[in-house]
Amino acid sequence: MAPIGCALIDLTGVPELSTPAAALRHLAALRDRLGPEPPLHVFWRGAPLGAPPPRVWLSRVSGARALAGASARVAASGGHLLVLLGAVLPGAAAVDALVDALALDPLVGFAQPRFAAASGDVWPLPGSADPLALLPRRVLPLLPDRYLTTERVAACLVARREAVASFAADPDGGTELPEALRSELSLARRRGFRTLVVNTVTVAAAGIASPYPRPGPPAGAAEEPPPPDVRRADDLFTRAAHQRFEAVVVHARRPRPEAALPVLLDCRGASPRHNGTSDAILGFLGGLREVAPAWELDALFRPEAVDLHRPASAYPGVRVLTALPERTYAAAVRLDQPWHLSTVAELHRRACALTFNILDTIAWDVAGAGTLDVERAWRFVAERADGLLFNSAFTQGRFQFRFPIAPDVLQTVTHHATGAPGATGRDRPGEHLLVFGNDLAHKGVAATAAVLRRAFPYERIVALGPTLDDGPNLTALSSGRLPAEEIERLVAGARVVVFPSFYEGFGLPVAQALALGRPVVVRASPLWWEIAGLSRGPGRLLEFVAAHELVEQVARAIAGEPAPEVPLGGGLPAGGAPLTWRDCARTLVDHVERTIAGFDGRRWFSREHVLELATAGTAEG
Amino acid sequence: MRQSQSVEDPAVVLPTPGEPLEFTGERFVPGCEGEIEHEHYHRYLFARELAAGRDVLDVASGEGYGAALLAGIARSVVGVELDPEIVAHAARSYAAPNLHFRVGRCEALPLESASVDLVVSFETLEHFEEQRRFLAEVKRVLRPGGLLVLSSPVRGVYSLGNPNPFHVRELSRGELEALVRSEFRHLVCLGQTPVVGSALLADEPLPPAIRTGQLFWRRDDGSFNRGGGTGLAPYLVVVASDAPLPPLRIGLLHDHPYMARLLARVRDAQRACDAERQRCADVLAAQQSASERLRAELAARTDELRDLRQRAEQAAQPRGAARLWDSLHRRRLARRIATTGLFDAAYYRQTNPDLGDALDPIRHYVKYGAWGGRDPHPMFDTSYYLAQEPALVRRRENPLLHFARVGAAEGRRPHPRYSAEEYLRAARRSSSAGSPATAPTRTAAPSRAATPPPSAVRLRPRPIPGALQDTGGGAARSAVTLVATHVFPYPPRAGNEYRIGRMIRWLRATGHEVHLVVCPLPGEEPGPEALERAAREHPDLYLCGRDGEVLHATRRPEALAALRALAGTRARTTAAAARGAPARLASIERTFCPDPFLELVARLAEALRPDVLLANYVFTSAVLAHAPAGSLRVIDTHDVFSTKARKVVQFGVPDDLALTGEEEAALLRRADLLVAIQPEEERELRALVPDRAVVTAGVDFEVAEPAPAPRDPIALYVGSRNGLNVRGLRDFLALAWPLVRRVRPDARLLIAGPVCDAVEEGVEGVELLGRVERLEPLYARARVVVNPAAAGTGLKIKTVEALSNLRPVVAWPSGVDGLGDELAALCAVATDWSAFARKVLERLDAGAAGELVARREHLARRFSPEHVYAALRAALARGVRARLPRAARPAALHA
Repeated sequence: MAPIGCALIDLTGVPELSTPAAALRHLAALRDRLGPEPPLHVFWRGAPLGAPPPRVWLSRVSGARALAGASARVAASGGHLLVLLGAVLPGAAAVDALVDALALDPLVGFAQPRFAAASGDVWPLPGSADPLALLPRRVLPLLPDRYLTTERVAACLVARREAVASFAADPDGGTELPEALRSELSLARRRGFRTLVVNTVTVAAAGIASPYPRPGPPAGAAEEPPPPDVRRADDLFTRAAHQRFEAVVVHARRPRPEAALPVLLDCRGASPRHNGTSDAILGFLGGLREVAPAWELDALFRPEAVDLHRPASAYPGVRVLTALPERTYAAAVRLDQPWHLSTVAELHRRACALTFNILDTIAWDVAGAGTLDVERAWRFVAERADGLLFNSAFTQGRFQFRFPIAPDVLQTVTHHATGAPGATGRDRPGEHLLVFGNDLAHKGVAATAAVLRRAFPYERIVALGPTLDDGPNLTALSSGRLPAEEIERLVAGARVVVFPSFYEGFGLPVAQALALGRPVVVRASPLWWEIAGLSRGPGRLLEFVAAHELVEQVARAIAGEPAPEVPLGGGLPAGGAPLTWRDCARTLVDHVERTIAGFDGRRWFSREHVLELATAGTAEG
Repeated sequence: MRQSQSVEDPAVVLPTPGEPLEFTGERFVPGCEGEIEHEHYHRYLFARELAAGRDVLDVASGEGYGAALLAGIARSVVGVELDPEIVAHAARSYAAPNLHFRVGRCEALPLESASVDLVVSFETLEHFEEQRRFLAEVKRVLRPGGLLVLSSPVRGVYSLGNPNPFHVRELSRGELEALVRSEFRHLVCLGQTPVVGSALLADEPLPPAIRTGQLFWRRDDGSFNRGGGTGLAPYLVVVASDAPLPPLRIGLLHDHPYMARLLARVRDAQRACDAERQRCADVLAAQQSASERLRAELAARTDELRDLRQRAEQAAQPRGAARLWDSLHRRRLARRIATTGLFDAAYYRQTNPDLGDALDPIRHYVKYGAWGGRDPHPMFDTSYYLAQEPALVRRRENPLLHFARVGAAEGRRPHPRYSAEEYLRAARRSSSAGSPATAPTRTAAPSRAATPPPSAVRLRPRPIPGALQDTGGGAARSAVTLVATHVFPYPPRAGNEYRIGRMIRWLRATGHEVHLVVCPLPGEEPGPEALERAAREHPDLYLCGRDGEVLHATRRPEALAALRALAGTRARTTAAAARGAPARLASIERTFCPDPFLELVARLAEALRPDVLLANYVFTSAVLAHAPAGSLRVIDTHDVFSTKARKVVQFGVPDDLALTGEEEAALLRRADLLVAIQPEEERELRALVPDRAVVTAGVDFEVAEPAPAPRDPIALYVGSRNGLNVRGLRDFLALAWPLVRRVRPDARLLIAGPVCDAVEEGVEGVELLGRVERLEPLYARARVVVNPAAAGTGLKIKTVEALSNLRPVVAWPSGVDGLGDELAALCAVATDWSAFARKVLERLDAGAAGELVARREHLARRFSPEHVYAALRAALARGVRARLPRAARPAALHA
């Protein structure tokens, strides 16, 4: 590896080095670090230094002249050019690491380190959303080793000898070194030389205004617009993925163990009606209130849903948002399935770790309730989310069958609450047969109610779901607008609850009915074995497939006769209580904490690159 | 990209590989499930407890997951593996500052001497011959007092019958212990085996009374071997050191989620298997069905081919081709007419008796009728239409098809009295009830749309062909009873037909001379054979057609004279208001009592001067207006139509003939005496018309002689094709019969009667018999009779019929309505289909009829005419007495 052939030091405009003594002390310190070999070419406009130290040369005319001089020495020496603007004192190891970085690729023309402020935190790159917000030192290990980017003048950089040898700017050009340097960097970029920001090398930049000086025009000259390719290079640097990454990565690690991490809960799946999704989202919110994780929690709702569900009352500590926030988070959790890739992108650009809560796959399976974008969104999260939550292993299986999940996506089954929502009606004998569902086809309410009306003409039947004609023994109630208390009253007052859905993600009403001590007859599904395993009586769970089996099971349930049942409680520890929303929220919190702890940026960049592709244009030029 | 610091967790988090490695059978890789996963993780989890803060060597580290697991707690871990590619994979997959992977051989470990505190070597030793050399190497790299944790399969246990091709040399327990002792002073040998079962656990420290290590090994379904120790373990785990061994914690690895997954898969597989089996059965059944269809089709085609060959031969003759063309053209026209739904085949047959049974009415109309002025429907006048469209005659274009194609759209009248719209509406309704072009079936509830052509119909009496016309006056006159009804009761096919027939039989048996006047509802006209048979049974029978034709057989000269006088006269039109009926009922009354019928009854009543004029059903009560002075006017109600709707609608069955209480009362008041079919309806009738006499008369039956118990588990259903029966049967087949068959796969259901037309063939265990001549043999074969109509009114005659055949009955509550508590107690009553199925099953057991047999004599008395009609007999006598002077009272009406 070629050594440093020359170090170009710009001591102009540094107040603390404005005296010869200070400048000489600085040069001596630099010599200590760099060793005796490299010649030091100093751009100095102050009082004469007297006899300069050995192997130190001065330029006093202009930055361009100084750069030309140093370049000539590099050309003669066979080494690279080290450029130091202001009072920067890199160690030999740092300089060596930058020199090593040049060896990675022959067209890496320039290598520059990251710059640490006095606190140890790191200066953000130019072009970041908040140029004064330092990057916490604790997240440095999460940054990629390097960024390959366009030219950017920095307080410390090493220029490859081959690039320096072709410097061709006018030696009588810019008076300030940054300006002259930027000009050469741009020219070199046109020749193919790129800049490497080496994140593994940090150089102290205490006491300087900014490690990224903004080159200006010569004194008294009007600022000219940069050439188009320079503007494009600036754009490339400013809009690069690493800028967005550094905006979110600031939250990736707690400053102190007890510190709260900002977390965004995307609750936009809660519609302004009472349904399973809304219940689950509010259930998790309530559970989180009890768990009280060390999170600074924002919950994003649709405005119309806020009016109905009043989430702030479910979790007083949460900050309820009705529009996408500008800030960033350690994690974002979508509390139901994402329906569009754009939703995933919105959360991705605002958080380090992304988790999606898959409640079911019905929208995709029935291919009609969802949009075409569902397929893309779900396939994307299966491959590139940090974590996926499932409300049941059944849902997990269905999802994984359709969308193979990448091995490093953290998967967790949270389940939903299987405990009693209240004690209402637990001991009541029951008054009616309740057919529970909604107006969607997979719920199977209408056909089931028709069978029960014929099979049990002397029973009162209440059908919750589609619009049906009431009859002498049938009362039809439209779902969606009934408040939870009313539904609970219907369940608690039922002799038998029939849940004829062909397909559920969890089947919260079944768990609730069991907890309320009701016999529940369900259409056979492996899901019910899982849910029953997490439930405790006093209810009983019976399955059917054909209409005559439905009739038989309902009759047995009414009469309290023995029947083949799905065993309850098998999935709970002996004596263990059914799940509460607190338990489910605890699982969610653990999962999210693991995704944050496991965050290393790789998946974030993987997502970013695909999302960039998804939104990129296709035309050349 | 550097790996982030791992997070400490009270739970042991298994490392996740950065990239997957394919499982070849040689080494375990994460993602493998089951015993292999449990065995491997358990060893490493065990070793992990010993690795805290130590420098560790994992020999044969393979995919790297184990070394990574140890690295979570150790100071440093080096994984050594022979295969450079695997080492590179491990390094890529599990990056951590304290974890390194090196290529090396077990016999020459690439480590400095005395450089580690713990050597872990799982399932390695058996893969090479130089095992002593390896132990010496382990000893070399261990610091003094360092620990070895080694596992190896037990020869003869692990590989019994299933040798592992990658194993070079497996050791017995003794050999392994000897080998390890050659290098280490202290060792303990543990057995490892995967388990399925249960663990008895205790909290530490263990109470003195607790000893661990008891094992129960299942020997077979009924027993366990009691034991302990490592004797049956396929693997040994050796912990060895030169220093005294540290405390070790042994125990279980419990993987409940895996078992849950396994069970779910088994269930899924079972379901898939069941579904496949069912699918195969369905395919087989479908193929058999298709095969039968194809065979029938083949037979039909063969016949057709034969026919065509004959025609081809004819065509070969001079003018034969033209004849063939005409024939085919007429066939096409007939098919097109059939699809219009405008042709009333029954009407055509009825009005064209020369047609005979053999000729198809439509083809007759195409070939002859249209050009002979015959009408295809009561509302299409062919002559009239052709007179309006004379061009049709020139073109030989069929007038009905012209109407269907052009005339209807242009609003041309099909009949001087009917508009095109009226005709189409009537034809459409008739079609929806059953295509008029095909043989119509009987229905209890007539269509209101089937309004007969009103008034101006000429009466055309003629004798019933083949019937005996004996005008000798018959037996000495007793009471004369004129019965008017729309129900033709011979041969009885439905409960009401049977009851009317039985009541007439009883009346005749008790001295009444019964004259039966029947005006069937449209589509329910009897065929010639049935008519002839009825005339034989009933000597005074008058069948009134809606077109004015009266077929008759009578012994009474005065009746015959009245009929002769009737010939050619026009029936009087009687407005509903004039009949005393509410206006809303006009169309119903016209249906049940068309003008020719009223005219006929009036003339007969005038001629015969009956003691009793009896109308069947309240809808026929208009005839009572023609009762001569002194006649007792009676309505046999059969049903209470103002309460019927309430009783059936809750079962989802509509009632087309519902009346309000006021409407029904207005009709009932036409009579002096009302006959209810059962006591509850007697009460309802009294409430409607308190000023009228009401009695109950059910139906009499002859009770069968006890017969041997049926041999097979057969259930029987006999029913007509009314809506309630059809609905009940379909529900029974869908919701109850599968439950019966599941318990009794040999159970069979015989279904007899017109209701068979309403259900599909092919239900397992069900035989559709259709109409049968005699029901007794069926009852004799059945162990139980079902009456699945969940709703209904009146008396369930089929229930009584079953009881009279000494057969247990399963029915809904409505199925025992009117029987009284005593008889109802003999029936099994269900209120849901599951209970219905169970009760059927209970009675499919032989001997269920025992109670009925024991009560036979009682039933015979209970169903005898004397018992059933006792109240009616008395009421008739009272009624007639009150209306006639003593000398004029017929003997039959002496109570």
